[in-house]
Amino acid sequence: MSFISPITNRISSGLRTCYDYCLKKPDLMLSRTQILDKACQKFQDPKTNAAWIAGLGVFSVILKDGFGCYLYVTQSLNNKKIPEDKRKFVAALDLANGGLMILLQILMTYTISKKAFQEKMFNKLFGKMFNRQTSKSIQAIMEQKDHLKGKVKGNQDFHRAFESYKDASIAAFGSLTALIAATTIGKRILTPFIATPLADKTKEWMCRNDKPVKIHKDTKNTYDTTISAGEKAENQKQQKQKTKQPVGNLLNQAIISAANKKQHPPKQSMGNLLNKAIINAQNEKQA
Amino acid sequence: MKVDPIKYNIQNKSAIGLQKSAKPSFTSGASNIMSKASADLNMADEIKEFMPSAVKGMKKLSDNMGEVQNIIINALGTGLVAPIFIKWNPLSKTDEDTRTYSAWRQPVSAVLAVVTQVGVTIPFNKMIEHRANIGFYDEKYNKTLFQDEKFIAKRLKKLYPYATKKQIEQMTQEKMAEQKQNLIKMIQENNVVMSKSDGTHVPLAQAKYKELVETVLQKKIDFEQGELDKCNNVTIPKKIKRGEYYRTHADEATRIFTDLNNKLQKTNDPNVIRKQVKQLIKQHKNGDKELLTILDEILQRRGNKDSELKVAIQAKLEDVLRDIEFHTKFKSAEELKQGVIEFETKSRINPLNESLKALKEMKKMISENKTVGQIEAYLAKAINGKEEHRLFKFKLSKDVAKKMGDIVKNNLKAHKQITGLIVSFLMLPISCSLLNWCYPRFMDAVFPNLSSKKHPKEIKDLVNKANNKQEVKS
Repeated sequence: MSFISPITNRISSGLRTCYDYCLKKPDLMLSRTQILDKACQKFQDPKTNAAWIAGLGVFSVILKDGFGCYLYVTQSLNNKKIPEDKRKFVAALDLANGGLMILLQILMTYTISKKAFQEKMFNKLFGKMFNRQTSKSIQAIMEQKDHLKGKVKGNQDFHRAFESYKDASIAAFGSLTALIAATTIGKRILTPFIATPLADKTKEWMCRNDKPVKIHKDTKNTYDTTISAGEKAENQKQQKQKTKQPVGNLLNQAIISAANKKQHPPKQSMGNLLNKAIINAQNEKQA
Repeated sequence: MKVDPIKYNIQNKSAIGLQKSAKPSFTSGASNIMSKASADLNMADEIKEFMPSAVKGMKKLSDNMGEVQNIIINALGTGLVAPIFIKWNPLSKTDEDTRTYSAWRQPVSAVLAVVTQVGVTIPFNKMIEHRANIGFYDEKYNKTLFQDEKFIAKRLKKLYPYATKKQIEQMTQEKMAEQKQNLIKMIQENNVVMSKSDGTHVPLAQAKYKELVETVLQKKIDFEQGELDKCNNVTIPKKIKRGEYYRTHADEATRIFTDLNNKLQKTNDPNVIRKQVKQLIKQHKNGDKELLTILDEILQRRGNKDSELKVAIQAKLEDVLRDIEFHTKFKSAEELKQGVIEFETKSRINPLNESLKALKEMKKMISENKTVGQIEAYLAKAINGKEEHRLFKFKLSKDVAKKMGDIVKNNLKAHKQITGLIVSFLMLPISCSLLNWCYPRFMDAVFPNLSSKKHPKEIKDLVNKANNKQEVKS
């Protein structure tokens, strides 16, 4: 076993060096950069520097979602595993989705997700729960309790605790509105709703110079829960085999079908019957 | 930088490396802390019971909303909501198959988003927190003086692997209290020294420390000044206006509010009073605006139960009746104005001025290089044990400690934001490639009808055909 320890030692030292150079040192270096200094300074007073923090969020969205959108589109276009007839639509949907998502998130940052806007909305909806009369009501109720008698009215701790509830409620309201309005309604309902028809247009634009793309015979509107593509292909194969029969067989079939016709004359359509009736009537008249 | 531990009075060895004691006390210290904590009134806990249920719900939501929850909710939106609006979109002209095929990309991408985000972003944030706790970064992100409860518990668990969960909890509380005490002591002596992960110690620069204490004091001064301005500009004029109504409409006010008070005494259903107040508002629609405001204030009183609402309305009515009695004593408007100002000066303006004077003096002491301990001693002397003094509960060292913690917390927030941006940017090619690899394979496996993948039977036939040809050739 003695030969194992130098190997494990080497592996562990290699891993440690890798960890140092890939994670530890870059992290320490990043913590000392000017941009982080600036960010720290701004984050100390989020209320005053709300515009800067919102700007950072927008920059992050443009950078991440923009790059992500580019990657998704190019990779979808070059992904041979996606059926050729669907590839451009998938890519177009990615492009429309990405673009709309960026636009919508920027819009949300400056409207619904804006702290001042949220505070205004909060005050309109829940302001009554934190006004002077509510505070006085709670103080009066608390004063009724034996262990709190004389300790609540005028106590600054009470006002601090009451304010902390208000802050927590604003934070919860903020994440709820952001979640419902921005994340769910905006990003997941409006975006795909607009993006899907937009993707049609984008696909058309992408295909403006293309030769007509052959839609795969097995996948064109075959989304059928009752019969699979494989079974369909098998049926088609059988039909083809029937049509490609030898000449002898064809002759036999012709004889059989002629015999059948004699036994069961082909049904005539209403149109034909009418025509025949008119001709017969004309013949009778002439006679 | 080397620091002389004697000069800087370093006592918080436990802050960085929790030393294993030969006989750990699992109960004594902790029970002391518990009893001490319970002696102090925790207003945040006491108030909870009486808050409206909607507020309690929002507080619960705020406490439980973490990063993982956010990611999961976001992914649920992507995976469950978005596909519906892609597949069943009446505005799209693309065939249903293609839309269905594209819609399935959303749940696949949602699952991958959860995997990559929970697997990378959160560990990175945890790594930053851990490094801040051990003192890996510079002083700006150094949390060694106020390590997280979770971090301490984790370390203690490592030190005492056989201790029970309850014992670890007790020891953690003990260590947290010890840490707090150490920090307060350092602040009082103007010797704030942080530990580094390499075992060295870094003192907080005196200039920075002074600036920090000054900021804390200035904030308190601003608050007190704000209260004084509010008293002069809002409270006093408002009280004069209301007092004038009581003085000029003494009979009407006494009749209305005594009647309401009597009725409230007789009933256990405060909603009867609310109804009557609403009727009174209708009746006096064109009456004095001040009366309507008071009636509206009664309607704004709240309580989770009827009994609580009754207490809240009762308190308001008692206040109103007391004010009526106080203000009707004045014979003229001028006399009332003087009376109100005199009363407010005595009850609010003088204490506020006293508080402001002490705070300004304290700020002056900082520039004279006095320690926080000395400043606190001055304040104790100024208060002279008077509980009604506005600064009776004010502890400068405690507020400085809180401010220090907040600064590091905000710096770490900025650090996490920028690191998160970089990490997720670097992760994008990986997550995109992963989606591109997984998505068509997932569709082939689960929805062969939608993808152009041949049916297994067909593939089998083709393979057999190819093998037969090879055999013929050979």
